[in-house]
Amino acid sequence: MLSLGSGGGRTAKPSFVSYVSPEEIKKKEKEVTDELKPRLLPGELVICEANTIVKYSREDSLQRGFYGKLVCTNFKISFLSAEQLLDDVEQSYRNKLMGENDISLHCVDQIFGVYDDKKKPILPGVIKNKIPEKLLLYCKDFRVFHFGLRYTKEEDARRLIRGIVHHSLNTTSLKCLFAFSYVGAAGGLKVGPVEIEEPPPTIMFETKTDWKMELDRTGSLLDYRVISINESYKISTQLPQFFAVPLSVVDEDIKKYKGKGIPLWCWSHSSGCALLKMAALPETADDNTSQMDKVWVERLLQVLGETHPLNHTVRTEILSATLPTLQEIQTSYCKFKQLFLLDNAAEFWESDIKWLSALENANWLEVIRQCLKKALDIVECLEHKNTSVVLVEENCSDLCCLIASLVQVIVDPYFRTISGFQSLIQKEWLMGCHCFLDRCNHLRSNDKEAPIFLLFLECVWQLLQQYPAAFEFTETYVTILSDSMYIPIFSTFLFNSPHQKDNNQMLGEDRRMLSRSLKLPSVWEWSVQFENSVQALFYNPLYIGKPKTDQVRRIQRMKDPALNYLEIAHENFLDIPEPQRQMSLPSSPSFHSRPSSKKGFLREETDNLIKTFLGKKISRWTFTAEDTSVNYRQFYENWRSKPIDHHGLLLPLHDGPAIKLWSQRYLRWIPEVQILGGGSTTALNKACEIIDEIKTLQKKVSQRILKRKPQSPNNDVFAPFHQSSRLSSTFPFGTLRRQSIKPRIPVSINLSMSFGSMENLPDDEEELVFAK
Amino acid sequence: MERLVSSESLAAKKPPRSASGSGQGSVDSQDSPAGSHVEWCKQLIAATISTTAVPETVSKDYRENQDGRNGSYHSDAGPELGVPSLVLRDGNKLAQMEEAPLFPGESIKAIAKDVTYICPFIGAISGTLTVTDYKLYFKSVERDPPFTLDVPLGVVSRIEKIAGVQGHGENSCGLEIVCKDMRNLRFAYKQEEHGKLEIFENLMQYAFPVSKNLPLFAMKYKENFPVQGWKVYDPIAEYKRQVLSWIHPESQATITRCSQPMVGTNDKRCKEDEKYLQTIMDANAQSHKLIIFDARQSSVADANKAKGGGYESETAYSNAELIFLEIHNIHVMRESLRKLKDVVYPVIDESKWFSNIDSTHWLEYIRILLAGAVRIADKIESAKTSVVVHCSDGWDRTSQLTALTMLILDSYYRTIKGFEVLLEKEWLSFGHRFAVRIGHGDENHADADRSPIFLQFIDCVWQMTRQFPAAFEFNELFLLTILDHLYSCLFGTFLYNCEQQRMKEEAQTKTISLWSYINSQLEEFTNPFYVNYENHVLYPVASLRHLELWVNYYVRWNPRMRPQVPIHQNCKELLGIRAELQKKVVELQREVSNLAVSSSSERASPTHSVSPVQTTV
Repeated sequence: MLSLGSGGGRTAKPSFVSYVSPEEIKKKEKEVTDELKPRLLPGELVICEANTIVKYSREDSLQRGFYGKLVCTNFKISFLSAEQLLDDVEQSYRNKLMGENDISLHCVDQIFGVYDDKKKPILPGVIKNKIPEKLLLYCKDFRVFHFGLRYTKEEDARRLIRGIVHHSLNTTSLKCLFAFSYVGAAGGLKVGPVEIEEPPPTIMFETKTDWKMELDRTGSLLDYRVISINESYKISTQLPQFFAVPLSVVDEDIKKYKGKGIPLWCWSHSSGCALLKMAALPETADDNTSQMDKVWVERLLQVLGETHPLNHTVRTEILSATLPTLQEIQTSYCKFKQLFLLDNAAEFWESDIKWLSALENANWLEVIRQCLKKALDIVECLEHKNTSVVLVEENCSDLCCLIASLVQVIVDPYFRTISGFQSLIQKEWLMGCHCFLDRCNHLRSNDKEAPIFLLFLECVWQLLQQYPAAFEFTETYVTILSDSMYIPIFSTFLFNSPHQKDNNQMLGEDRRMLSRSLKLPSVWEWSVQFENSVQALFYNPLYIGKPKTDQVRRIQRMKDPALNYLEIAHENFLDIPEPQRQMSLPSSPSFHSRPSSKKGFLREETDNLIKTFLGKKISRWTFTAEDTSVNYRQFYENWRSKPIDHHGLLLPLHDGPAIKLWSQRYLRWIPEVQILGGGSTTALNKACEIIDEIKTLQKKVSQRILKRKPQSPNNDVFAPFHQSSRLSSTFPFGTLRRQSIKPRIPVSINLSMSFGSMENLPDDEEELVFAK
Repeated sequence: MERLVSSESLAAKKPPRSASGSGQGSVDSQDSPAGSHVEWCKQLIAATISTTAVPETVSKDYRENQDGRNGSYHSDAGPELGVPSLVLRDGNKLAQMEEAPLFPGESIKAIAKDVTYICPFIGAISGTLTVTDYKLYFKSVERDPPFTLDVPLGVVSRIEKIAGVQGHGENSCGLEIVCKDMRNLRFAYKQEEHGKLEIFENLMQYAFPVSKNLPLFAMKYKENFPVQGWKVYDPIAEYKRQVLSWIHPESQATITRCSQPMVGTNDKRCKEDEKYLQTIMDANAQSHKLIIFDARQSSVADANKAKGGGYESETAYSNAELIFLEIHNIHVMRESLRKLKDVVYPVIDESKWFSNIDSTHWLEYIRILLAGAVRIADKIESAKTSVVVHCSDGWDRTSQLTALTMLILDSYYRTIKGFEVLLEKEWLSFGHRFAVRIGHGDENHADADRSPIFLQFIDCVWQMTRQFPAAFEFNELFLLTILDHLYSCLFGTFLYNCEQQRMKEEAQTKTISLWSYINSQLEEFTNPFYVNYENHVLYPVASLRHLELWVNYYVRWNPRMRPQVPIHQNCKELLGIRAELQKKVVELQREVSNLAVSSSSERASPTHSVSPVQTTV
């Protein structure tokens, strides 16, 4: 039972008693040193460590903390506390690889030292001899750690700081990544099963069959073919071994520029329109050659249009022309993330006042909006204009991946299931040769860092919160996926291309022998990180699951019968009208844009009147002001005029208020914004509960029907949520301590007086009333 | 129908109507205007979810006309105008289809054909404009589905006529109608066609009946609801102590409200008052302190001394601590809302959305209010101290703060009935001056006493429902409905300034309570995620990180702001399945036990019905 607000006595203010006093430390030092051993993964080695370090707790206004040992290994920085009892933490969420106080070396974003109460960045190469009182670690998943070093032995502290800075900030090389020691050492252990036994399978697109199946699924076997010309990367290391191209493309074309200038197939609409992507041809100084190149590409594209039975048009979309550059995206994200890396409550409340403007200034939400709009634009071509689209980008591996996959989430409900979504990332990002290694900057060696994949997840999150019943996964799934980028174990995020991955996984002399056992796990092997109980958090209880009842679905249903409960109920028991839905692919648009009848409504005289009447403001009152959106206006409005089909198109809303902050990801570790007893989880919890109840009832019904004796009470509870009685908005991430259930009161309410220009208003009060 | 408007957005969403359109009227809500409100929302919801259910209610307008149910207006038509729809019926078919449906007691005052509505979102639309003593109704069948605009005249703040524009030899004029609910309407029509039925004059008359010495429409509205809403709140049962708002069940800490003390420049003291506060303090054995929350900014409270008002001095009131909550006055709030309207209507500058919202300070003021309520609640809950809350008069900010504090502390007020009681108690009976703050039926749109104090409070409540989606029994529609009828003048609930005025105007007998309407169809207003958080104090987070502009209210006229798919719908569906299954289990159990009895071989046990899962958090 949670008894919110039963704080005792009159301790309104937090007691400013530090847990830490030197005498106490001396007393316990020994135990701490001896007893605390870090939990190490296979291949993990301790590099340095220091004792009597205080971890200050943000929840306690940094006035109190726990002391313990800080360890730096070749995988993580780990704080071990003798005092922090495990059982005061609700263990609803646990990562097998990382504990609550573990920071993977790749998750460290910035390091600061506090010297004489001044915060200064600590950078590799310029480490001062002076030991800071405090060490601040800012993480890429937005945790902020404060470690006090005042009671630490100086040499230990110095060594520790050097170790941490070196291993988390210094340039490294691919071979030195922890992943390789991990799989190497895990040799016999089951770390990277070659087959993914988890149903439903994620299609990896590493084989010819995978591509064929996808062509088949989208009904495009007649127009496109899978080619294996790049098997063993004979043609290019910047292409996957297998991919699909239009029938009209011959092998010679591909060889010509190592695949550049060739439209690669992404997805086909049931109308026959397709989404393709293409790397721009290399620039040549020779005008003649470049002219010939142009003609060559044009011919390919022309053929693409002609071969299609409906003779549709082809549009080439040069992404760099309308979307922000990678540099701009990176700059914007850097600004944005700083908004969430806060040191203390005072800083939080101070920034709260100008929060909205700060959010806008960072421009990150605007970048998201632009991506959604671009995707919308392309969806219109495919859905409405009978036009195939070829996305063009220099390397075809950043914005191409982003837009192509986003479009597919919008148009194809399969990609809104967990297995579909994972397959999509395999198809577009992994096989699209997105340079995860460079973009995540795992080696800290380049300036190629850019959060392109994160941007994709952001866009998907926006869709998810706009259409919460249309996705099989929850935002928790998306957040965890974003966190997994910084755990350097998964092959998914460690390489720049399939070629690099395959090449690096074959260590040792006898490549063939070792290749199986040294295979790094894919992030989709969720059991590497989580128990089933945590994985259950991935499934959205509100999902209206009605995809094809194919084999994949059945397997999954057996795994967790509560999923897609609605579906089962529909099929088996109840005559509830089924939600209307389309086949797994949206059918071609059946509506035609009506001829604009604007003129008809505007009688001439009224027209004239309106002009006089509205005067200057005319643009505000007619839609000429929205010229830019007029293109897809009709399409958009038409779609909106119909009931939403969760298994059809899901057009993103992108108007000002529609783009929101992904608060689970960005705010989860900030104690000031934790809503005790609240958050969207509480609603999901209720839904899970109902599902559970339905399951029980269903069981009863089937028992009655089959006249079976009641079985032993079933224990398989679906709802992962309601095992935790202490929900808060940050569930499942922010672990709540049992102490202080106090409201967060802005520290400086007076600050609110200092802005706003209301000088024109009567600043006196309402008239007085003499009541007494 | 009072939910107006939205027809703008609705027009795009309604499934096409069939011309003949009279389906089997389902629900009894058909008869009630209220019903149509719900219908509208249903349509909206239907339009946004994936279920097939095409609402069969779309043809309601026609049905009403064909049933002749609205015939009442013939007899009811005021002497001032007998125009009624006969005129129209003689006219063309088109005009007939653009006729306005009426509520019982409502009568048509003017009809104009061939009027152009200049919609900021979809352009100019030509149709028929009807003015009744309750609403303004515009319908165009030029569009498919037909476009309708249905605006209660109660929301009208200002009407301007732009007359005599010469265009191609014809005399045209324009109307601009500024509304209290975040939108403006613009019409254009040809002058001479309307010589007889002067739209403008009728609008002026019925939008501002108080200024014209006419009764508000609530007095004419005749509707029977199964539930009597005026009985929701029984002050005797509800509170036994004067001006005492709430008492903590365990600690006996209390919330008391009042207006500012009459201190004045000379720091006058009042022994009786000091004694009174001492009594409040003494009543709470757990604390020897009393905290007085002054909602105002300290600077303003000082300034008030000059006018005879002021604040309690800590020397005069021993053991009392005075805290200022720094909330701005009604004028600041009015200005803030005006700016907000500029930002959200009609066009949104999406790239500047956040900074524009920021510049209105609307959310900032919401934050300060919530923070104030949290501080008060914390003093009571954690420090077990009794509190006294006041501003200057004790009926604006005080009402906001005490009501919010009670929502934080007491789960009863988070139920539908409890919230109704809360409004009756903290707002209506303590005399929030609704008539003055809203300006019902009054043409003086620039009145400095108008201010969106109540709207701001409801916004705070909405923010709380966002932060605690399972803790409130009511849903968003409930709050929207309250706000719509704050202005509509259809119900008597929010019409008057105080209890005395309500008595004088015989509100209870002559008008209908909003709660009659709402409590007659609770299903519509219930949050399917509701879990009873009994005895739980729920502190909202008063940070802009968690406050959001209430788009479904402030920006709802913008058709692009389609309400998000209500996930509620999904949960409702689940609840439906659960109910079905429960029924089935019971049925089967009965069957089984029947079998058992007939065969008498087995001592059948099972007649324990399924108990619904109770959630406690």
